[in-house]
Amino acid sequence: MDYALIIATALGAIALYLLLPRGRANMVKLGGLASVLAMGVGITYLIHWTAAAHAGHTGIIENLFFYAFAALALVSAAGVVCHPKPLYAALYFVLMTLAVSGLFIMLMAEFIAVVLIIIYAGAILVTYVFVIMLASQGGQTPAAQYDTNSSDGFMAVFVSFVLLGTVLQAIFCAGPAGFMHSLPAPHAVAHGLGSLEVLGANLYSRYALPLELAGILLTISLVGAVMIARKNEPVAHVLGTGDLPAE
Amino acid sequence: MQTFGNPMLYHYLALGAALFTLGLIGFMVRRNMIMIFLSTEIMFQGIAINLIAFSRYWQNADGQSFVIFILTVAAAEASLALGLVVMLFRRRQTLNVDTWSEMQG
Amino acid sequence: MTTNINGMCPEIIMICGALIVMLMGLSRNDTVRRSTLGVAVASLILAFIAALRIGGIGTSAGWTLWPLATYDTLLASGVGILTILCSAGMPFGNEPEKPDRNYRGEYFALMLTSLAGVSMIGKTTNLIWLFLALELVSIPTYIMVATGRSNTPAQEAGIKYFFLGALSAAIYLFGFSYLYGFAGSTSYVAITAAFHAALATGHLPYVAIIGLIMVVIGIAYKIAAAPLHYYAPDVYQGAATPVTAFLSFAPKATGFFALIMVFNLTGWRLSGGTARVVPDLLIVLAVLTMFVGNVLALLQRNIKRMLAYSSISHSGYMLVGLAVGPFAAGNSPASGISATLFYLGGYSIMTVGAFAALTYMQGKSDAAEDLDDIAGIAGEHPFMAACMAVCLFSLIGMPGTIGFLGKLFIVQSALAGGHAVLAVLVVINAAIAAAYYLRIVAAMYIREPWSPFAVRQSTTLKAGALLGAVLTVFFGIFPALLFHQSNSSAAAVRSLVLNPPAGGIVEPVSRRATGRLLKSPLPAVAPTAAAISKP
Repeated sequence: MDYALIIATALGAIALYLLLPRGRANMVKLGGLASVLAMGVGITYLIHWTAAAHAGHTGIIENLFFYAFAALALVSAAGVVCHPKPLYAALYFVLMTLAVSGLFIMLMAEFIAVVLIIIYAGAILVTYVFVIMLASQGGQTPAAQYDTNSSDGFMAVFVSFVLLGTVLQAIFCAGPAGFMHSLPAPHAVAHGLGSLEVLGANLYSRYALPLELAGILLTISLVGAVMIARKNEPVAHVLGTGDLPAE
Repeated sequence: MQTFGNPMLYHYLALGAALFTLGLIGFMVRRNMIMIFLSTEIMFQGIAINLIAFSRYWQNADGQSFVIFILTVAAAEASLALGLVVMLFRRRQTLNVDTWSEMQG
Repeated sequence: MTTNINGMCPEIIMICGALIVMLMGLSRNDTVRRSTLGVAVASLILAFIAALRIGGIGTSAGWTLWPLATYDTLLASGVGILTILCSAGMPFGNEPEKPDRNYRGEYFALMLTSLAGVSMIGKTTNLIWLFLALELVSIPTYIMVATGRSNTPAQEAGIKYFFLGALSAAIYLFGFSYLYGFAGSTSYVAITAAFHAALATGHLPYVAIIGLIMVVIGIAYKIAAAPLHYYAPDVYQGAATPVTAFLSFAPKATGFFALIMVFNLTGWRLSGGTARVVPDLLIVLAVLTMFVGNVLALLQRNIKRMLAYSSISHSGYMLVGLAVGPFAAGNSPASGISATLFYLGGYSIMTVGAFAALTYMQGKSDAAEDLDDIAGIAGEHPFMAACMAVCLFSLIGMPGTIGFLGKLFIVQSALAGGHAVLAVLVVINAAIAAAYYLRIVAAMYIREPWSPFAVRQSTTLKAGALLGAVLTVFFGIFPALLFHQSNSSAAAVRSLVLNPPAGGIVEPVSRRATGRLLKSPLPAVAPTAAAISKP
């Protein structure tokens, strides 16, 4: 049993629960403190574990970039989940995307790192920010009402962190068959792992058929998005299930 | 030799699992439809970290290819989500999912 | 990946059909738009024939289990025809006086694409393909639910289905990522080899177990297994009835085939050590699903909700078969996989038939959903009431129908596989289920009508309901055709499990992975950078 791991998970759960948006007293400061504690325990645990698994070098300097990006990703992900204003949450999401793509570069997946930024930060998020602004433009019902009141916070946090605890235990305590391995050093990695050449060859040879399927999928969802968003003439009252605008 | 950039596999797995969990919480807790959708995207990014780390670990491009496909499907779902959001906003003038729970049983 | 393109022939036909139908739907000419239904049915018939032809060709082509793949394709195209007949005049409700004005073509195109996804599951050879096939089934269904009819319940159903679908995709993807990490490759061959190697040592890494559990949970959403069923009643009720019919077939067939494919990777031998969790999870899911579905169905008055809960309970019966696995003692009929596949075929036919009849009875507005709305309908529309009654009797499991044989095989396989308790639970649930199905039949035949009926007059719909009812009885009396297919699929699964294709297929796994897979799935000693850089 790794008590440090359990403590880190539990602290994380408490932190997130405190940070969740709620209408009444805001406990952001307390939550922030708890999350800092949680990450502190987590990082200490990781460093300690690394040292134990590979007696000889503690690896703190080597992993500095990892810790920086990981902390940024976690904090901004928590920001997406907890920030009461959708626009800020969306911007946190962009930050998270940047942090994750930084990790991808460290993992020698440069192409995917770039693609991630282009697709998420570039395409998807801009569109969603646009919609958020459009939605909050009306202004008659302040969006804050349903954004500041989260639902079922306790159960959600509890269940999710139990899941996280289980997975982490499995990763760290799996015994000899677990993943206690260091990644191969960059110079030892097969030539051009993340390069377009290797990736393209892989996509168009082994995964040629799934690639075709992806094309069909995109076509269908394009058609579907148009079908869904198409403005139908208001005929609802004819059917008797009338929809009047809310309130 | 190794100046930086050589953390271990489980670092990434732990981070991937943590992001997945955060996304799961966001999915259950948020009531704004766009936020719910972004929460699923957080989950997808946690999965992508897992896959890329394993890809690096096994030194084959399968994991990276998988991520490409996940990004594709995520983009397809994003377009659908956008369509749904627009449709629903037009009906109810709000992005709150709780206004969409008429059916009971 | 040397995929046999010939083998993909049925799916290619379906997707071409989808594109043609989509273009035809754009025509200004009303006749052309109306003929989209015919084209859709024709392409499915072609796909059906193609699947039959292919089924004869390849039984040795690499990893693909051709009998299983053929059964999958036959089911998708065959029941697909029923679902398309059932959705004549879709989408509903935009303009009741001109129901056919809207995007008719797109609707059938979505259906065909989704069916192509269903039919592809059995042919997948790697996790990426499986993932895309699963999404190819789901994404069109999200659109169909949201646009099938233009009232708020449909849109509410669309949101719920879409967001929870995305969540389930994330969950099984998380599982896939761990399975990939466990084996070092996405290909089924490599993963199978990794599982065999790990199970031989008697110690399956936790990571593989967690991956499996997540995959099972993610896919359990698709088959609406309790406790992941909570979306099903709302979505089934909210969607237009033909879409509901489709939902009760396509995602379920997909889910069960996908589960079979995933368990094939493990060799169905998870009874030792911590791996025991996974089959136990299946059993728990099965029992919960049966009881939740049946007990909650008793409380419903809305027919669509009732049928939604009933479809949940049928998933429970099929999960019993899966939990029994392919190894049941004795000869073929007792194998759990065979029973599940047979039940899947029978269930699809009878439930789509019932929904076709319900669509007819609900009329133009697609609004009559309460038991009272169809009270006494047998007097005025005896033909459709009879079709509905036949399908419902089959869902109960009356002798002489396919539903009876399906339950019989499930119970037999459970008994033969040493799961006597499960067998008893299936029988108890079948008895509970009879109560609510009979309420529908009684409402149609015994009660007095209290309002005039406005049925949806459509020969296509009638044909669909009739076909469903006839097939239900036909396979109930002559089950050999269906049984042969399901049985040979199960036999293929069993032979695959007994003789895994260790080196039978050449799949370019990376250098490092191949060397390592033969020894153990993951090395005990950390591969240090120094060791790797050594020549």
